[in-house]
Amino acid sequence: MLTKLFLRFIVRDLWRNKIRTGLTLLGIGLGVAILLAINLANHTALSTFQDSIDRVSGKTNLEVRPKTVADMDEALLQELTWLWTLPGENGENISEAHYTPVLEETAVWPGQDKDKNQTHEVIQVMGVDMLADTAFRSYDWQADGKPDSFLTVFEADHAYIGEAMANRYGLESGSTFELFVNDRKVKLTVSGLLSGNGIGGAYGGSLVLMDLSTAQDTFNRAGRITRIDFKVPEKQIPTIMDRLTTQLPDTLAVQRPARRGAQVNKMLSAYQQNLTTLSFISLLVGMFLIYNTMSISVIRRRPEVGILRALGISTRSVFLLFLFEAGLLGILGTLIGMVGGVVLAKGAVKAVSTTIQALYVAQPVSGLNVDPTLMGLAFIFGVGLTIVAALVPIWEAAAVSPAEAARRASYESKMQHLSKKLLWIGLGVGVLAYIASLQPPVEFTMGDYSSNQMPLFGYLSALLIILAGTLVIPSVLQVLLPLLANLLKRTLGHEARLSALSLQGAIGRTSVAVASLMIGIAMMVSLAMMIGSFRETVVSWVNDTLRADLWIEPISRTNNKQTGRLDLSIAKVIAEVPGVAAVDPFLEFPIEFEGDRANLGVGNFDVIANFGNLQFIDGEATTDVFDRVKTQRGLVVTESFALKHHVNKGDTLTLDTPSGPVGFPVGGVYYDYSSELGYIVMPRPLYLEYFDDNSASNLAVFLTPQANSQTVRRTIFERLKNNENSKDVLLNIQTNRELKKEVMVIFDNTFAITYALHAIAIVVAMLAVMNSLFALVMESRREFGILKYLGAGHQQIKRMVMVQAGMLGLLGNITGMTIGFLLALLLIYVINRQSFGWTIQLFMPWGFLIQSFILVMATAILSGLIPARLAARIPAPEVVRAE
Amino acid sequence: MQKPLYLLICSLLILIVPLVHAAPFQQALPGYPYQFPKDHASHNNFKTEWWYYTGHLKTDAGKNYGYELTFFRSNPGIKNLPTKTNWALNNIYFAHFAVSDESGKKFFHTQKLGRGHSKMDAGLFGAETDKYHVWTQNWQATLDKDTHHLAAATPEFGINLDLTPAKPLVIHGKNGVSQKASCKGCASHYYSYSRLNTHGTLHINGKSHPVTGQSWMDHEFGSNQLTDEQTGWDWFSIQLDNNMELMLYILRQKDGGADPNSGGTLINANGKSRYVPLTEFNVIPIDEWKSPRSGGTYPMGWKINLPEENINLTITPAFPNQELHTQIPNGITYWEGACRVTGTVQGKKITGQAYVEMTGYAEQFRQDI
Repeated sequence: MLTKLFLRFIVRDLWRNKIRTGLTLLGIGLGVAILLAINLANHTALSTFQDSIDRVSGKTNLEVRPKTVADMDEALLQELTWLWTLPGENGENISEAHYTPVLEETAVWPGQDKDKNQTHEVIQVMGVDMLADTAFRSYDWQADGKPDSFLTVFEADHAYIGEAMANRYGLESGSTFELFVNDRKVKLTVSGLLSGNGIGGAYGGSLVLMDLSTAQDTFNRAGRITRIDFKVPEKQIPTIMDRLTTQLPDTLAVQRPARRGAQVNKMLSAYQQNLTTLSFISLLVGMFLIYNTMSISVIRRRPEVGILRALGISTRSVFLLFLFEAGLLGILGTLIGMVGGVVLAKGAVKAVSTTIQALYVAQPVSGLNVDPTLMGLAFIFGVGLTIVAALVPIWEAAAVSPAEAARRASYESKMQHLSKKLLWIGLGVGVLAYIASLQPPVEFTMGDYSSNQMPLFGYLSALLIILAGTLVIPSVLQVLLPLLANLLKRTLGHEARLSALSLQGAIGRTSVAVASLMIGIAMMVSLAMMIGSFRETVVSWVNDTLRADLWIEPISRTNNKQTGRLDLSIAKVIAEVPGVAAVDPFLEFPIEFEGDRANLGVGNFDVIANFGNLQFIDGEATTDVFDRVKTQRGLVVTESFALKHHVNKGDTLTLDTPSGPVGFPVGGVYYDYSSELGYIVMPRPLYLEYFDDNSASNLAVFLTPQANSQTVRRTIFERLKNNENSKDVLLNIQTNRELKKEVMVIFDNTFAITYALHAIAIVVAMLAVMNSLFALVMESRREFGILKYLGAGHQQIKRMVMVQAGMLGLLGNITGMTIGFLLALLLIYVINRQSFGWTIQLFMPWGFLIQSFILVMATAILSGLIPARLAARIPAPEVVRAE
Repeated sequence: MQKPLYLLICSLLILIVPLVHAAPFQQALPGYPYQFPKDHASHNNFKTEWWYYTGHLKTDAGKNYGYELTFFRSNPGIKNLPTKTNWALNNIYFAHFAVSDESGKKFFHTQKLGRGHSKMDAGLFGAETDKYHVWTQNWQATLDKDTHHLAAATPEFGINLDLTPAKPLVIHGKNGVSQKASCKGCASHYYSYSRLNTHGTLHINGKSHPVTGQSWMDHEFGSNQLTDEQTGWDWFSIQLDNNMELMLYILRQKDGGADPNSGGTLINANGKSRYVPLTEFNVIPIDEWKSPRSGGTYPMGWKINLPEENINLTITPAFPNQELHTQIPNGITYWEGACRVTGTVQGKKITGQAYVEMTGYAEQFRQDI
């Protein structure tokens, strides 16, 4: 019985209103798709890292790696011999402890893959002791990839590679290939192909595995290693960890390999959270679409519900009927969304991995991990939220009494009374939103790792702002619509006034339509303002701060800003080129500070003071700060670092150096937007006093005023080529303009996903406009019928509908931009600051605001076209008869 | 001679690298001027080298244990090595360590294998060239004046022994070279301490026992490998209670016969020694034993006669399962075990102890499948 009723009453109705049903499904689908795509991409990135860590660690259950230095001296191995004679619990000799040195590096693929696509893929390179490594890691060979002799890998320039990489670049055993390594190109020979099982599957197979000897030669790092892997009896780990921690310098970390996974996780958390939150906004708009559709569907069918009730259908059955409708929409929409999500996720993975490689970890992410849990969660979220969004209208429907249903206006008259109450509640919620926005970030502790900050109250505030906006809309409309009515009467005539009044008469439906428009537009506007402001802030920072005329980096940093060094001797060659006023060899590398990833930078402060510029947050001049830093033997930190680690100017920052922990006074905190992980920057002479690492990752070159940067660049290339030591050096030399452009390209890449979300927000907002209009016009059949009966012409009716559409667009614009502005303030001053720790100056993207205003109006009016035609065709007698 | 062990190493290298160019290495040629103690140290100009100890130990409680501790150095002869690093694979070092519990009939064995480092002198794997010191991580052999010090340990078993020569060392072969195949230059430099008084500690299953006993030490270095004709060898080092020692080896050929270069050395109580050619001795297997692990079938127990010397001996393994299995990097399986000796010398009853090594039985078996 209920099934039959469901088919006739619900399914048939949905089918008849194909366009609206379709728009609703599309809305839910987009919301779910975005949420799923972002989460799948994030999950793929994290699971790739975790999987790589597992494969690379193998049986390692303890590791030593650099914390505040770039690498370690291999002589350290000699100090670990006590492990072989470690007494066991009963005093017996235990020699089950094993350890092995590892050198991990990255290189860049120098050109085309086998399908001639240009690529600069980051390739992970690992140097291990090939004689001992099978005890630590699992080696599995591709069918024809097993080396004939295990000795060939010890020959110079020989390496094993992952099967996936071999396939991508058309390599086989015996092939030679080239890689960009630091500032050179090296030629390697494949001596074996590792299958995807075991170590060969790490980093998605983009892996080169060498003997330690070959790796040290290839990367020019004789005597250096980046990790020591240990395999020790599990129950002795605490003892061994303690002893290692005591014995080894503080510059090294002694930890379980799993910890690296947690660190990567944590490092990426702010970035990923931000994306997830943004993706939730689409779903929120989708929810509103559902609310909108269901509300209108319920209001429209009040008389029918009344008849059903009069025929003896119970309240519960009515509730179930509408619940099924919501459920059906939810399930269909979510399924569409899940398919779309997987499709979109492929693009999202690419975008996420580009950003992660540019800003966080120099590790490739590829493939797509379609995690069943995430798919299941997306389904539950999609369907669940749809039903939640539909609950209020469903209750509304179930509450219809047989008598009440006959009176059409009952709902609207109820709304008239309610709107004042809603206004007060809305204002109250607004106050709560404001209070929430003032709260500090919530600190989380993840296991034994250091705490993590999340702007939870910021997110709450955003939701409250939207809720408040929704609640006050009826009252706002009560004020605005009469004003509009008068305004329109004077400009567009009586039909226009009538349209406005008709909207006011149906204040409930109008509010729902305007609210969904408002949310869509608010999302669009706030994102645009946030991105625009951020971009403008970065542009002005770039212009103020990036003063170097030429920026030189090793070729291996092409696609990977984390690693890659320069041969410092070329700085001398460059300094002698005519037109060069100064060269600042800058060194930067990732370090661990208080358990978090950060960056250590080393620069020539005299050069920066004379030629460059930094913006300190208290406005102090760079030269003054640097003078103080010099006399106090201090350093400077970036704003994001300062905020993350609660460091202020004048504090003492303790760094673990090879000669023990040393406190350095913080001379100043400056604006920097290059890494949310933050930088600690030290003057090179001070750095060299404590650290034994006189190298550079890039060179900032300042020219004399007369010099031409293009000419100087050419001369530098020529001189390097003519110098025996540097003739093979491969560098990227960018002029100031090119560098600035590249910074903005990186910025735009980072925001690629946000831009995509933004575009989708616009689409969803437009869907909301169309959906609301269709609904409204369809519901105004009665009025149009009467008007026609009273003698209104086709054109007049059409015009009325178009005016209504335009008015909705306008109201949506007004409310949406207001709420959007508030959300933008929240994003800029609370959420972004708490997540990433940087100050963004508010810039109004006027151009975009005007464009989006026009776009919304145009969409609204265009969406009015079909309903207008329909309305004009409404046969008058039929409608009036029903009256 | 100690050809057999040399063959073991060489065959290991055959497994490791099919093509080895002998040319860059110094050749073992007649007239080599031995200089001790320097010649105890490593000879890195030669391709292959080992220091080999076996011995029979007795605890205070009278229990007998055999041990083998062998350090190998092998240059794989890679032509095109990386040049800037300290880790270039010039030498692979490995050690085999085994203890035979004769009363418990339990055999313990393990190995360590690793690479040398051109700067680090301790902690990894290596052998010094100016004085005798060879080590694989914490296992090592050193020389302090006349005393050899051996240390090797695993969680299950370990030794810590001092070995002092009871008799002078014996240089094998003629004119300082031990010719081991008919081809020119197929030779090695090779000497032995055939009897070293031994005392120290034996660790077994978490307990330490003071032990005393007698050991045998070989040191051999050379650069050439053997022919394809040999399938394996049987080698005997026998210490008789009358202070004589006898060492014999038989190179088994593919056709089943013994290579004419098979032979041995007889060392008298006074330390004088003489070469024993293949024609002067007979080795007759008594029984056989099939290894459950490798599937190889080994002779087990031998009658050994030297008619010209009127020596008749019966060699009985302490127990059959003294087979070593090494996995890394390319597995080799062989039998090396403590044995008891009975028999007569010049008609007089005599007892003694021996170590026997047999190779090529399990591999041969494997080839048959």
